[in-house]
Amino acid sequence: MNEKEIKELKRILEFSCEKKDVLVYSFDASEFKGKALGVALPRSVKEVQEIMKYCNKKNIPLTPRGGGTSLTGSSAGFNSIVLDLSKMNKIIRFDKKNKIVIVEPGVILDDLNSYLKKFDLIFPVIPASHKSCEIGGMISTNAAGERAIKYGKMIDWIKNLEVILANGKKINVKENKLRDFVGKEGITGVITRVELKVKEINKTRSMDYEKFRDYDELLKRIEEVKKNKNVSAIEFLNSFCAELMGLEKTNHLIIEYESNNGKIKSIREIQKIWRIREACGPVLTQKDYVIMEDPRIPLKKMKDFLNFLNKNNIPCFGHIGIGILHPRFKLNQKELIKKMFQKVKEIKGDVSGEHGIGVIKKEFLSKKEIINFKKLKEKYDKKNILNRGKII
Amino acid sequence: MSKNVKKCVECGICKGNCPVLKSLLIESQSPRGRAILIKNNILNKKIIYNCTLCKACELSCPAKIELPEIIIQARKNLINKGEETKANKKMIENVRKYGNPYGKVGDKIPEEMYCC
Ligand SMILES: Cc1cc2nc3c(=O)[nH]c(=O)nc-3n(C[C@H](O)[C@H](O)[C@H](O)COP(=O)(O)OP(=O)(O)OC[C@H]3O[C@@H](n4cnc5c(N)ncnc54)[C@H](O)[C@@H]3O)c2cc1C
Ligand code: SF4
Ligand code: SF4
Repeated sequence: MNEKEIKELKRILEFSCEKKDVLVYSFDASEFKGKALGVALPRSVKEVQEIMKYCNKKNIPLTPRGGGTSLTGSSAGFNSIVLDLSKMNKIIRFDKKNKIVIVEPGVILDDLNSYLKKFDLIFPVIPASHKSCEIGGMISTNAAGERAIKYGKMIDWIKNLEVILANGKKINVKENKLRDFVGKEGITGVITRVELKVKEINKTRSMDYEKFRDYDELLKRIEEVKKNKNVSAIEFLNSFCAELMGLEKTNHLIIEYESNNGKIKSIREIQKIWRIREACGPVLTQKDYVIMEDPRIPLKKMKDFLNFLNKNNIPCFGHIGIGILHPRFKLNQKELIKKMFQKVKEIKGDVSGEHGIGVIKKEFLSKKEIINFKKLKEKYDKKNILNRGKII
Repeated sequence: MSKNVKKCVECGICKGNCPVLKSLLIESQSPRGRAILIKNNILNKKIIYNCTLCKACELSCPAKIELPEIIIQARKNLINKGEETKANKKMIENVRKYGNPYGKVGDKIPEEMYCC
């Protein structure tokens, strides 16, 4: 970018290409390092439209960004200006009667939920990054959380989106068009306003905490428990992960119910078990298993996959009820990661169940998936301004 | 606990608790931003001195990084190079000259007050 362009950008909105900002916006939460050209910090839809028009005209790539907790390099600058939407963080309207909230994309999930808590309501899609991830980023990755078995993914809670296309045009998106933007990692448009459904907080909870040596028995139990409509989470730790956590070296299964079906009724005890599950990520990180993958495995092939993890000493935990697991790796285990993805393909699983593709998982996409993404790009962003170099 | 900034995995979990980020809303003013800058030896004065050392980031860090301690060390490095902020220089000068960071204190509170 030249001096003239920098001046023009600064006239449109808050813009920085200082060394410090260029560096920090070249990262997200993954091990990928890109190269940001600068950061633009819009405060209004109009500013988003203006910068997008400008970049489209000048052919400057833009990378939309929320909390920057992506684990795939999708929100790291990549020879692009990073469009950080964190300053657009207002709760615009709340309709308590109809349980609808309208927000800007930069609202942090925890901030939304502390606002809703006053009304005994909750936005129930809660990824482990809830302290820092923002609604726009969550929609663009179609995020899921620990209770996805009951509450699904972001797509299930969106009524309406306002999106700015690469040429600066504002459109409204709902119903069957939502899939063109939800989970598309910002390659089709920038989300500037969101209408979300929310729900009452469910106060009845119980839990079962079980241990299994045998995968057949474990999977039979999962199939059986999935029939119960009150089940809100089915979480799993494999024996290697359990060992690293200082627990008994066997497979652990956690089943949470939003009813009294479980044997454990004490809220304290339930919270204690959740704390163990939530500590898996941090503890494995401290033990140098810093890379977290998120394949989705068909339940029918789960045994095959769990055996593969066992054979290769891969610690793993995750949302086994919906087939999404989080095998963890050390930085020097890139070859093993490749081997795992080959296995995932062989058993017809998905390379990513919730974190997305970004840069890091591009090489694992199928031809069909690439064609579908390219079609969307052609439809909404012909000049490939948005998130150039990501996914396709 | 680790004072080794290289152990930061850049997950960004600490962002949600940082009071400075909550107000400035730019990644370079986040705990993760500070960690990335220090790792890369970019000791930007504004970034290093804007931290309140409140430890909120440390409490939420899954990798148990003691970022406030790392920031204190970065300040020491800036001071050793004579590159601390103007306010900090003045404060040190006042301590040396008057025995307190505020400067000459008589009946009136001095107009320019410096403290850490
Ligand atoms: C410790 C940890 C735990 C995690 N746990 C989970 C989990 O349980 N479940 C889960 O699903 N994910 C999880 N993640 C991954 C990540 O947190 C989610 O993908 C989250 O939804 C990303 O939100 P963000 O605001 O940080 O998005 P960012 O990282 O900023 O962006 C993600 C993508 O969205 C795009 N984007 C951002 N804002 C917009 C916008 N307004 N318009 C268009 N595109 C936009 C970006 O370009 C990028 O492609 C975890 C990550 C970490 C670090
Ligand atoms: S300081 Fe800790 S919480 Fe913050 S980014 Fe680094 S590892 Fe994550
Ligand atoms: S210690 Fe500094 S970086 Fe950490 S949360 Fe407090 S102000 Fe932010």
